[in-house]
Amino acid sequence: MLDIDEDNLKHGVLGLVLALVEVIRDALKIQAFKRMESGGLTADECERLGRALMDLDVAIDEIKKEQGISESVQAIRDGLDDIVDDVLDKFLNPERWTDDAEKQGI
Amino acid sequence: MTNVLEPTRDRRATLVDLLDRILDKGLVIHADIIVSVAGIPLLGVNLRAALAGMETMLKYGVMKDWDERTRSFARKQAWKKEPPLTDGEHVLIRMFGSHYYSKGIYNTWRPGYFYLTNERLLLFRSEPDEVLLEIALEKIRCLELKREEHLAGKERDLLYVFLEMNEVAILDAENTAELRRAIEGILEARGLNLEKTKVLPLLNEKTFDFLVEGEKVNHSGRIWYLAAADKTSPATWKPGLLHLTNKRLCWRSEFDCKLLFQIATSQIEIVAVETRELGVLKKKTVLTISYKNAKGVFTATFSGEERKLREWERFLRENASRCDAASLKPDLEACPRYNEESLVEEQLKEGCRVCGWVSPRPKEKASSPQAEAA
Repeated sequence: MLDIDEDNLKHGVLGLVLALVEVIRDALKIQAFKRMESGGLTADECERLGRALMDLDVAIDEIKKEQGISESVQAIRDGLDDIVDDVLDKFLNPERWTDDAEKQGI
Repeated sequence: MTNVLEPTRDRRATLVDLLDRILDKGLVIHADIIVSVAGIPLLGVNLRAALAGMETMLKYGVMKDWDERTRSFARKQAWKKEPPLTDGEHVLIRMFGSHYYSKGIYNTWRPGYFYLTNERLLLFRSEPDEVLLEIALEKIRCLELKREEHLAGKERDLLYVFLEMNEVAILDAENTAELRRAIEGILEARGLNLEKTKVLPLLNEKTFDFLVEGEKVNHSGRIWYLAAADKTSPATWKPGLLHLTNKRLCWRSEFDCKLLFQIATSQIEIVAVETRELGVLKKKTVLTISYKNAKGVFTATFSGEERKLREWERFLRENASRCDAASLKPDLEACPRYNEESLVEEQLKEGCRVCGWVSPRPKEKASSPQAEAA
């Protein structure tokens, strides 16, 4: 049974948006570390960058807490990670395609 | 010795890992496309794109100048991250919040930090530094908290700040009650008096601009309305506000502010909350309002939280009995054979006075949830 109401629509759509925002934030964080480690940034710039990323963390957590969607965001992220893992796994190990196909009896 | 070190793939790849790998290595797309019809090229696409982390870009010498320029611009700006204060002015309280900005066609909440000083109330946003709202304390006439419902359905206390010239600033903050107390405190300390509470204006003035003279809103609330199918679209649920005034009952769409439904309160015949099957939405509670006009009897369907629907049902029934109890029809049922009209209760107990026919309708009613409410 498909049951849609305002509440689970919020969990779905807002959760997906926040999950994507979190993924982008994590990617940006890694890039920030790389820039800091490369030594190309001044101390002041490092400080500003760190603070801005921290503010972003706080803001995202705040939204999640307020809307009560922490769990659904985590669930969506896990789902996305599973998809990526699955696709990459098949991409890197082509023999798994045939395994899967045999399993399904094709 | 079974503990042989063997490489295992225990760590699962995540989306972030994938993104990081792409950004780290860099992604270059170079495509030349020609679209031709009957052997004659008509459209040409020459596409060159590169996506990589800035560190990788710099390693390959791409966008080097740009990186330098952007950073030197930011350095020159020297953002202070604090609002500009005058001499002798000091900050009393700092709180995250937003204010409702409404000018022209642009209506939105603008977020920033509230700074309450001994002279002003400021809403400040840093990077780039901008003062979004500035209110001198002498100009504040009155403060009031009001519970409003946001789009997400959550209720919040908003702070209405009344200024000179009937201007009103609507503020939302982490803790509006605390902000209000702080403002009242500094006003008292400075010997500025507040006026008594005024009538609160509405968040969006447009919400009520349909009212005619002498019309007064008795009850309103957010509710979904099943807009009837027309030439361009099938029947659709739309969000909006239902208003019960002393003259009419009307519903207005939240997006285009169109009055899609309006009837005089005297036209209302039957109000009921019932459970219905609505396509994919199984067993949805809806509020149905039957009304009569020159063309016949129609039914409008609304949906929302059950609690709210029950509230509306009660309210509309009370209103109907209050405003014109005389016109409210008793529940009559006609016998199909002799067309003898009598009260439904009578029909059920004794059957038709002539032939003894018993109405099946009240039985149906008794088994439906609306009977429980009544």
